[in-house]
Amino acid sequence: MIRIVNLRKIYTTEEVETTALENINLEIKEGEFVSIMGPSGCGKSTLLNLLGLLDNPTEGDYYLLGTEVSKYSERKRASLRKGSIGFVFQSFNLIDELTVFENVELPLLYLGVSASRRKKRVEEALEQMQIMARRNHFPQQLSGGQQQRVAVARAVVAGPKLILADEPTGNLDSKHGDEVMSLLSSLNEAGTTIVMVTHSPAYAEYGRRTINLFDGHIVTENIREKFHV
Amino acid sequence: MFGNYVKSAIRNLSRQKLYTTINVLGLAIGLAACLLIIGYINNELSFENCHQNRERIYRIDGMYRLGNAQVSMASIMPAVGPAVKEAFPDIERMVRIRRLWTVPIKFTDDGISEEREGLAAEPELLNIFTLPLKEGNPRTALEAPFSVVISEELAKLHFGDQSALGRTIRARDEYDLQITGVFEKIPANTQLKTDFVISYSTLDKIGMDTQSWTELFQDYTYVILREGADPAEVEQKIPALLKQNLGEDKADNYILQLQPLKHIYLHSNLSYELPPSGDPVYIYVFGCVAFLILLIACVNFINLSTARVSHRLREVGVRKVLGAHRSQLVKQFLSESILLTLVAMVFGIALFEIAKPQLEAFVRHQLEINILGDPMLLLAMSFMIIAVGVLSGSYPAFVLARLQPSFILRGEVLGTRSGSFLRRTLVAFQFVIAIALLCVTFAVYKQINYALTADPGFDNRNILLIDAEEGVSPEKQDLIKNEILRSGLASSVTVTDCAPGEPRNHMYGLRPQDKLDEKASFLQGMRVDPDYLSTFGIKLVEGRNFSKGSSADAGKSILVNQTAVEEFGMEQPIGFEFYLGDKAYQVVGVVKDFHALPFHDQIMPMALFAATQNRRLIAAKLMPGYTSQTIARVEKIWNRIVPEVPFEHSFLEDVMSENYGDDRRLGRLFSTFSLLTVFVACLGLFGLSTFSAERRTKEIGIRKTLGASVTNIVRLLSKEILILVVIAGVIAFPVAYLTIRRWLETFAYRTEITLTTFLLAGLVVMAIALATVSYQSVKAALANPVESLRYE
Repeated sequence: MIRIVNLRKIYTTEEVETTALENINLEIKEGEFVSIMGPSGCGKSTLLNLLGLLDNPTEGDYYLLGTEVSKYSERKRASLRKGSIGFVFQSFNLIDELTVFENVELPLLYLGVSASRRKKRVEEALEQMQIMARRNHFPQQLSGGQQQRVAVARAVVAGPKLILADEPTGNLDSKHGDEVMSLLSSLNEAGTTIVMVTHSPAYAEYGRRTINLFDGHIVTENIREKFHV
Repeated sequence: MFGNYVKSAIRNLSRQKLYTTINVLGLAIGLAACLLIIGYINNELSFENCHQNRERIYRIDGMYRLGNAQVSMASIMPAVGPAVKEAFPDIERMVRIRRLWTVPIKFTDDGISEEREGLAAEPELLNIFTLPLKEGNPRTALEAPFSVVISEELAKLHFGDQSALGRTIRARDEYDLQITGVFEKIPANTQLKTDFVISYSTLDKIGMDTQSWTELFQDYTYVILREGADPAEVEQKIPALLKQNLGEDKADNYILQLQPLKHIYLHSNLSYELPPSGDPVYIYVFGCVAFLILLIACVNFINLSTARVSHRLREVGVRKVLGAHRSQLVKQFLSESILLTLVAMVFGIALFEIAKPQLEAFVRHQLEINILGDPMLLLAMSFMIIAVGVLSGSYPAFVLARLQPSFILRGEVLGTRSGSFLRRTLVAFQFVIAIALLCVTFAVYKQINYALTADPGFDNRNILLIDAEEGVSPEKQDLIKNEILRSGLASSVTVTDCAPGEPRNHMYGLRPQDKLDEKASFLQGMRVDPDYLSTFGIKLVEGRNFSKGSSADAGKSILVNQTAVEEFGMEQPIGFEFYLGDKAYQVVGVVKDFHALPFHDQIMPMALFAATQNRRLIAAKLMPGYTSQTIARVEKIWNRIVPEVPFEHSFLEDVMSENYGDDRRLGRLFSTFSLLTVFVACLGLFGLSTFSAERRTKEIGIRKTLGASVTNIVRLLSKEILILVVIAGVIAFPVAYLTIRRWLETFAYRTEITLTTFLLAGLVVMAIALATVSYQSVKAALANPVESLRYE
């Protein structure tokens, strides 16, 4: 599903060049659950942004579903992004001015889905995340765990093949963190590919594979068999 | 999708209350100003549009030449009308209209008296102009002598729902007029709006001249040309007609021209125009100023939106991550700004309704503006909403839509630096406008103050003017004068036809003794008695005053002013003779120049005639410290001598002050506009300073931990504004200087343009700007540094 070859990312400001990623080679198969770990500033989020087509690499190739996309314009990336990639963020990134329902509906709006089908699919997603009762609330009226469940609902509503999660449990206590992880886990079991950045070794274990980044390089890759409790 | 835009726009706007209030208020003021001006311009351009035949209607204007001078007049000799109608087949119809000015009338039925503006007109009035009658027969209503057609307003006032036909009005307590018609409501945008019209044939019956070939200033003469006729052709034939009736010599002095009706209101500026008169200059000035206010409001919008970018970043980022295209975001933000403008327009319309009477007071006539009923205005409003929305919304929209989502979500947006340069430029631009307008305002007031306080060359204090034109014989005028003197209420009293400082300009065509062969030259003339000089404190510099107690000087002697001495090169002024027609007048004295006319006009050569007749005014120099009792006692004297004539009085100082009424109104308008401009600009500044204080919270915290005092911080935050105001001043001053100089050129005598005016305007704006900013700076500086650091 994803293949990255010799990928490099350099940030340039007026006087300083910072290498965020260097010589990254990576392949992720459909249906995989991959965790990315590493200390702050090692390039985890940069990698996730590149995977999510939020940014272009400085060098190297990126094959998404067999197509080379590393040189795509923002316009093309936006078209590819919507519908096929779902995002979950540490800080939830819900829009404060929109209700739960409207937040989840947003990806479908940009996809041009009709109103009646939007309603059906948003409700399905809210049911799945068990947040239906809060559909008319605004984000500030929800707890962190609830907000993240809304964010996950928003990530899955368009039925993407790939979900990118950037420290989804970072702002949550352990109870809510566990909840979110089991949601992601069940999505993965249903066939969705998941790539997750995390600081927590315990949550990293949910993945079949953990990639350790340090100073922009992949240092180790642990593969383990999935086990179920 | 659009529903989603609107929804998030409404919620965004209602959450950001300060931002929304500033923008709505600013835009509402700007839009109201624009509506007012569009309505005003629409009204000005629609003058006389109510007349169906307006394209073919012309007024015959007269130009009268005498020696070195010429006078152009809107009204002409009464004999011209019938003669041209008879001689030129191209003229289909003709009407003579005479202005009766204000006439005291009394309604016989209810006995109520009032003063009303009236006209006299021939029956063709109702055929040439579209002035439909609500009651009465338009063919005959103005036929018979002593007929009158009254306005709908008067009819309703005095007869309610009953018919007015056949009832009588007594005019000037002399003539009974029978009501033969009632006009339908006459719109305000025609010069023919009047309270009543009497039949022209009445004038003959009351002894007024309707046949003269030489009496100027008489009849407004309108003609309607046949379809396809060329007005220039008609004009060319007029001189021959004049020669036929006036003789070769005299005819040369008269030039008659046809002026299109549509042209008159805005562009014709002759003597004795019918009111009201428009001025295209005001259209330009108002238009520019209104546009500037709107522009400042748009600038606020742009500034506040870009300053607020950080508040919208996350939303933009999320929307982009979820697949929004840049164009979709641009559309979203544009719909937000258009929505905001729409809200502002609603408030703008309310402000417009509040401000309309003020504008009407300025232009001194009603404005026919129906804001929601006029398709032109509705179209203009929709256009304004979209244009302002797009103009003010597009820059912020593009800035936001351009941002990279990956940057946004990591909170790494720096770009405030370039944005702040644009913001500074725009703020400076706002202050350029504010300072320039304020400079002009100050200069206008300075000039008015100068005109009112500068020495006019005569004494205008404590001078009571009593109107003695109608019904007071010359003997009674003198009797009243002597009685007032005898009562000790006044130190000096004079009977004259014109007080200095009254806006009256009587011109006399005189020929100096050494140029008898040449054509006469115009002098400003006044008919006075020997007490004129002492009453007004006019100084005699040579020769003698008219002798008191004898009428020896009457019709023989004149006094001239210094300008006349100079203009006619009189080496020996005393004894110099001027001829009025065949009659010689000898100069017996020279007076020091004084400003008989407002400071707009140059002092002209002047002749004071010793006169015992044709005077209309009694001027009394009251004793200092006079009270209303004094006036009451003067009135008592008046009533004893002429009880049948109403006592109408005024004070010379008031009359002179009214000479500058137009200038003062212009000053008031400018001060209103410049205050609005400063207000709207400061609104924006307040919003900006709020955001900038927020943005710099961390910087302030660090500085304070390092030992900066509150004063240091306030200075830090205010310095930027000071610099901007200074830069704005440097740009604004030359612009203001040129504008002021042009306006001052309308005065022959003017105050100097001083640096103080400019510095004062700059300081005022700077003070207001600093006050605006200081609220936020002081708040930020006083905050606990730990708070601000933690906040970050």
